[in-house]
Amino acid sequence: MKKNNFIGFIVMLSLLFILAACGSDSNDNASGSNDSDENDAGSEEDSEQESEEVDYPTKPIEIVVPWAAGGSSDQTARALAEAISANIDQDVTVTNREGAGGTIATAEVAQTQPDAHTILLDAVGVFTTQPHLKDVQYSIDDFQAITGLTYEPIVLAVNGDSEWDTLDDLIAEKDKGTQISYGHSGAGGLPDLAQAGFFDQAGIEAESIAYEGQNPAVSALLGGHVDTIAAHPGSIMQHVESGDIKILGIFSPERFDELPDVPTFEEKGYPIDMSVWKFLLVSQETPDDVKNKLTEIVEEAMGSDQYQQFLEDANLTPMDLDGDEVVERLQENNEQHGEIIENMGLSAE
Amino acid sequence: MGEIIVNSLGDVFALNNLLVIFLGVFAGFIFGALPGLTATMGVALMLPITYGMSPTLAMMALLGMYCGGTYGGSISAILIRTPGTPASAATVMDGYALAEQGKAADALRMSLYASVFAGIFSGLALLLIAPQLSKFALEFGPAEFFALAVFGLTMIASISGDNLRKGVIMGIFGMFVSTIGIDPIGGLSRFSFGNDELIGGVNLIPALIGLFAISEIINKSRTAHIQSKEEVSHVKKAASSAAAFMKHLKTIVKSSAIGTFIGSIPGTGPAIASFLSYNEAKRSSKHKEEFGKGSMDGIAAAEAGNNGVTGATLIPLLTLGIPGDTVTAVMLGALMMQGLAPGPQLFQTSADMMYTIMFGLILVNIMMLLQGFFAIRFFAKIKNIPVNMLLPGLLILCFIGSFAVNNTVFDAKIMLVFGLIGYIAPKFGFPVTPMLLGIVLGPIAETSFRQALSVSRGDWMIFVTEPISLVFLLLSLVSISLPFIKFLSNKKRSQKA
Repeated sequence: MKKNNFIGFIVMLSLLFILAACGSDSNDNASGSNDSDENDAGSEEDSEQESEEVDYPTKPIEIVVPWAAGGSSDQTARALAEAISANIDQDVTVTNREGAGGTIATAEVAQTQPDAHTILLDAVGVFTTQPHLKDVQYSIDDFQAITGLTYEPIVLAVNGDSEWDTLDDLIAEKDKGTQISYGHSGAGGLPDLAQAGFFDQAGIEAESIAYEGQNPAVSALLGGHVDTIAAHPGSIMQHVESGDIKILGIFSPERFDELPDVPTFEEKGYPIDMSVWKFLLVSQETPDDVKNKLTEIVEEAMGSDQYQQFLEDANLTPMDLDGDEVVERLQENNEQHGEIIENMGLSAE
Repeated sequence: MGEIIVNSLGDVFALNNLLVIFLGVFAGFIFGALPGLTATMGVALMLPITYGMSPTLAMMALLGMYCGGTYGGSISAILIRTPGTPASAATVMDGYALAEQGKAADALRMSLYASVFAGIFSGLALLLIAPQLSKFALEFGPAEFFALAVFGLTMIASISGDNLRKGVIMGIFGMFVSTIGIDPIGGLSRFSFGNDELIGGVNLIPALIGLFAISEIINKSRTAHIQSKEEVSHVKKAASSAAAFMKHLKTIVKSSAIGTFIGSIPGTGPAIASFLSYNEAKRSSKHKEEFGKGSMDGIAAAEAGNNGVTGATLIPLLTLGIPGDTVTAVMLGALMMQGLAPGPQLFQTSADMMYTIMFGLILVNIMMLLQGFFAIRFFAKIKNIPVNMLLPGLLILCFIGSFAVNNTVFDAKIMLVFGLIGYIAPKFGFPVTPMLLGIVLGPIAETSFRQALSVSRGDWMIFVTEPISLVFLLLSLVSISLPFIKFLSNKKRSQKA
């Protein structure tokens, strides 16, 4: 029995060690939030020059992703983390903090105001649609933007066997009394709003069918359970090439480089601008010199061959915006999206 | 075509492939066996490591982790009555009963054989009939999903134990719990009481750990001070394994087929497959009374059911580019990072790689058999750990596991609440497994029900005019009414006598 005890103890111990190793990989929430105190030394030199002397980063950097592992946000964060850690002495980790359309993680960062070693990756809808749909405990004023990251347009697609070959065919349904079912990745999401806005403006009677995520919506379209969906082109290009899905139009102001033949809705007289774009945020309390240093580090990483190769492989278009432009554009989008949500009667107020 | 297959077969056996599979399966066993760490989590954690590998190598590592993890869940389910993953919840009832009878090694072995057989079965299905199955899977629209969920809910009858009424109450309670959070159709929050965290809903993993692991820890700790003199020596004694396997072959084949079928439909998952298989095995068994009290057949069914899913979930992923669950979503991410977009085109552009992946899946299962053989001896020793050392360790694992799901302490609190439910409810005869079933199936039933009525614009006939939906609804009807019919006919017979 003594011997058994010993073996048992060793088994437990080794299991715990394995766990500890796994744990440190994903959540490095090490304490010590006052590391950046010394940055307060207020010299008034040119920020470019000064940022060379800023003592940042002093500990591992954590990128918080408000969505699950494996999605395009997560992949972007991981590719970026790898590119950043190649240039600095500290590790860069990615933490997935999923839930409630990205609002939980965003609210958490807004409330705790961590130092610049915690970076939040966020997408446009978190600031432009969610606040209209429900009460949220954050606003863009809680953050400073570092840079824009990626841009994914939204397109309207139909089944390959559909009788509509062009956007004009679909618009022509106006007075025929046709009832259309449109699928999308979730109520209040941009693909939902884009289609709701279009069918409303085009005077076509349409019913919204919400799926949980883009993939179920795509399979519903493939199976013929809905008439149209709105989705990102990257995930449906395969089916477009095989002829199972047709893309009718794109919800962007300009045509998309990779889909030169697909008309915009604006061209047809429906000025709807909806695309998902992502960006990096840090706490509002981050001192300017630290923020500049971080921006420099991130921009260097984004310019690396490694990261550029990732964007190409993952079918993502870079979003070339600096921090101030991110905030400006968010405010623009916020007004437009808020208006559509109000028209749909989904508004929380 | 033939040439491609021969080439892929050669590629699979490359030494680095074998090594990566070995490590993947090994890590999978550990992730699956530890309560709270799931195959999904393991695959997600492994993803960044695979970025530097070649596409096939990356997939081998992830598949090893996936299959190993799905089997590994049964180890802790059998030994310490805490399913390592939701997929093994159906294994708990019989597995732990067998372990208590000193047949832990037999149970572990049966679970291994059933898992490996089902894994290979679904791997072959992937290889041979993937395009046909994926076409059928696309037929599953909202009405079909709803009918499937209803059929699944009728399983409450077979896992409720002695008291059907209390089982139904717990099932409904589980479905209620699943409505907390953001309404999947309308996007409004329900039962969140303004709490930010509750808006995210109740996560399945912390609920599972609470219901099964925490409650068991509380139960065990009440008697931890009693030194048990009994020596657990039976773990090594195992019946001739080949004979045992043959005895349950029919159940295993049937369950593998059920698992493969369920797995090929995106959005279902191994938990549903294992419950369905368990239910079917019990229905067709001659020894129904053994189920829940230590039936080898039950273990074989549940484990073949959940591992049958592993190969089949790759069907929609590889043929359509649509991941059916979180694990395959991560795999999709891995392939995308390699510059490969799975889908109809990939079979034409990289056919050799596709076949290498399919053969790799079968190889993963063979590796699982070899490793499992040794792992069982090692894991069976857990039974020898004195309770006063085992429980604190387990408790730590539970907290880490539920925290790690979403990196939040809130989930640990959820776990504790469900731990209390799991501890108290059985004291009053309310079984917890139906509650888990409710949490798993509730969201599918609700979402698809509302989607179906949106599609049909409120016309209820959609559930009976769609043939697949009609079949499942009829099956549910039969499944519910069968016990009553039997009861009545028994009564008649006894009156005549």
